[in-house]
Amino acid sequence: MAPLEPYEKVLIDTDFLDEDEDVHGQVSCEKCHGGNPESNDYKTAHEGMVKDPTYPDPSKTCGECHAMDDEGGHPEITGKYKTNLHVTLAPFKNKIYLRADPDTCVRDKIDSAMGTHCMACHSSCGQCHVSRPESVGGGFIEGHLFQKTPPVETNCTSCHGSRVGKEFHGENEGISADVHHIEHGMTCKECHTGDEMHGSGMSKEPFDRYEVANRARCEDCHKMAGSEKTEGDKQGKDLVHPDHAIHQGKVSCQVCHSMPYKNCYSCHVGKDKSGTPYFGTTPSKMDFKIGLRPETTEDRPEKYVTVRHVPISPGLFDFYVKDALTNMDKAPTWKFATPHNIQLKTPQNETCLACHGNNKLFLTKEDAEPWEVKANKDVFVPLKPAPSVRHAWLEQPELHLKKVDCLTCHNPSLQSPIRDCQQCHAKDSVLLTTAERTPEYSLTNWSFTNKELIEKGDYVVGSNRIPALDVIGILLIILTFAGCAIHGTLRFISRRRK
Amino acid sequence: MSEKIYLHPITERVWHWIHAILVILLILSGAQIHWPDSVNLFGSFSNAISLHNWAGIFLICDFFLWLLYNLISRRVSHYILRKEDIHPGMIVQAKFYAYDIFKNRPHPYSPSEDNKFNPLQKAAYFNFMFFMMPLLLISGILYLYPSYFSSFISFIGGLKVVAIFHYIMAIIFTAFFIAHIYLATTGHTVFADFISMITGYAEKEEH
Repeated sequence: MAPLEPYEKVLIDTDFLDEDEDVHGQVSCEKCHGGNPESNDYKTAHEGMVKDPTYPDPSKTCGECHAMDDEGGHPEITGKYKTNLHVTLAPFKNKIYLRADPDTCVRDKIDSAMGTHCMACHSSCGQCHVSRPESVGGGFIEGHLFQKTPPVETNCTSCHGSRVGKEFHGENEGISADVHHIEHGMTCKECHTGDEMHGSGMSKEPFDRYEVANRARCEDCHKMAGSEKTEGDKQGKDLVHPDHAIHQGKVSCQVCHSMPYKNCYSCHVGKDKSGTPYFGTTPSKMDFKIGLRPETTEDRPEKYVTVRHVPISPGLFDFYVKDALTNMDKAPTWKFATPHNIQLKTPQNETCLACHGNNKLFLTKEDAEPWEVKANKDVFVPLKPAPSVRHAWLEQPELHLKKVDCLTCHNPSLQSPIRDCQQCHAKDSVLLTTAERTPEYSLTNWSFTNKELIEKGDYVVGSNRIPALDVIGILLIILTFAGCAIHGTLRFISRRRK
Repeated sequence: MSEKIYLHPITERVWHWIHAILVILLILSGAQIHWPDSVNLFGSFSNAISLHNWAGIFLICDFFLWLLYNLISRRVSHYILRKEDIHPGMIVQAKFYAYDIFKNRPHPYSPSEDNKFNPLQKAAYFNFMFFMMPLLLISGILYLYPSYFSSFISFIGGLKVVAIFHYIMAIIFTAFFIAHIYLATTGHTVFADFISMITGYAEKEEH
């Protein structure tokens, strides 16, 4: 985002005063910003003036009209400001407190440090709908004209830019933009409604932004297997692929459909010699990790989720107070994440075995620093034996894994996965009866249909071999050879005698 | 003195060698398909499948051309056993292979333009070309296009039955193929019948 020139930050567009353009222009300046309009003196005229009259309490400004739903169509917004996550940053603060030393003296220093650094990232009514957030330098979005929907570039990604913004817009090297953006031109507001943006996440303690009511959900647009879309739902592609029926409720959508994303490490804050606050991190890493969600809910039952490393480190506040975070074990440093670089096809969903048994995708103890092992103990995925080992009960397990489509045995339409050889290798084989195995060719296709049989994996190499018959067959050929050889030798000898 | 007779017209010779090449390719690729773990002659399993499929298709065409040619030209008569071929012909010929040949006695039946096969050849070729070859080809077609014939395949017991039948026929044909090559060395010289199958001319033995 290009920085604004100083004049761009403060100049009010004359359109603001046009009622048709922006009704807020009809309210006099001092009504919101204070000051003394009667004074002709610069100093006294600006006395008591506030730059952002909507922070921390917008009830006397925005609240005059937007405090409750009324017949004029004013939505109830300002009543939520006390709990709005964009204003309170409550989950963020709570997670720091959870890890912090409970000593009051230490807490005070942490509060001071957080006030200088972390909490500066809050927003407000004005910092979304009128100007850019103060944390990125502020400045009007468009000459003080109120924006019902804050622009993505100047507002959403000014705070959510380095991770979500870059992911969504495809600005991470080698990783395409989110399919919703690049193929369907969607922006933040298409998924994240005003309700969510003004939400509190207070339905769960500690506050969690993933618990905000009316939050964005893939299922709002994509009909899940076995569910009915309600009227008025946005039209996303129905999730007809059988893999959804298998993974639904167990694995989050991002596990299969997100690409590698940014993970941040070792944040530390301080002030330079001139007293200017700064923060620093070690270089971020692009990675993709599947972890366990320690606390699943009815609403989010998925156990396997994508997890992102949050930048926290034990030395975060060392500049202000040494060893402030003495309870680092209280919260995981690999946190449930919803990367915004969704793709239909990803390396991990290419085949079943691209994920199952691919241990490097899963978060394990080896991915954590020694100090964070305990904190993430419930997030680490216990690795399972390799697929070939888990399928060792099969005859020729490697051959089955290579040639047989996993869904052939793990077919969601079956009550349980196939474990009996006879279910496939018999007259009434399920390979011939399940709907998914119906051939996909037409009479105009001149290729051999056994090609499809083989490519689909329904043809199991060697499955039609009968060892006894093989022995008989080979014996017959050897005997034929031997018979010919003996006959020929006798002929040769008899000719020599002649 | 022996005289040369024109036994194998060019059509039959060309057919014969095409047939031979296809049969060899089918046996070898079939062996790789059946025992992919221990036989690798064509690089990959897919190559072997592909080769086997195409060679099979060509063999079907080749077989029908041969059938058509023999029926239209009436040369099919070479394959029909006559009464005297069955008795005493087959016994005489069997006795020749089992005993007389070691005494260096002449072939009991010398080929002629009208009757180029001995009684045992007639019996074997007739069975293999008019009975077993069609069965082998039909089982191959069922295996090539299982979905088109799914009800018939289910009726006979599934693909496994087709596979096993195809395998048994292939083994019998392979054994026949070996015996055929060996018996081709039992002409009046070891290579006489091979040369005859190239030039078309065979020497008529004097009895």
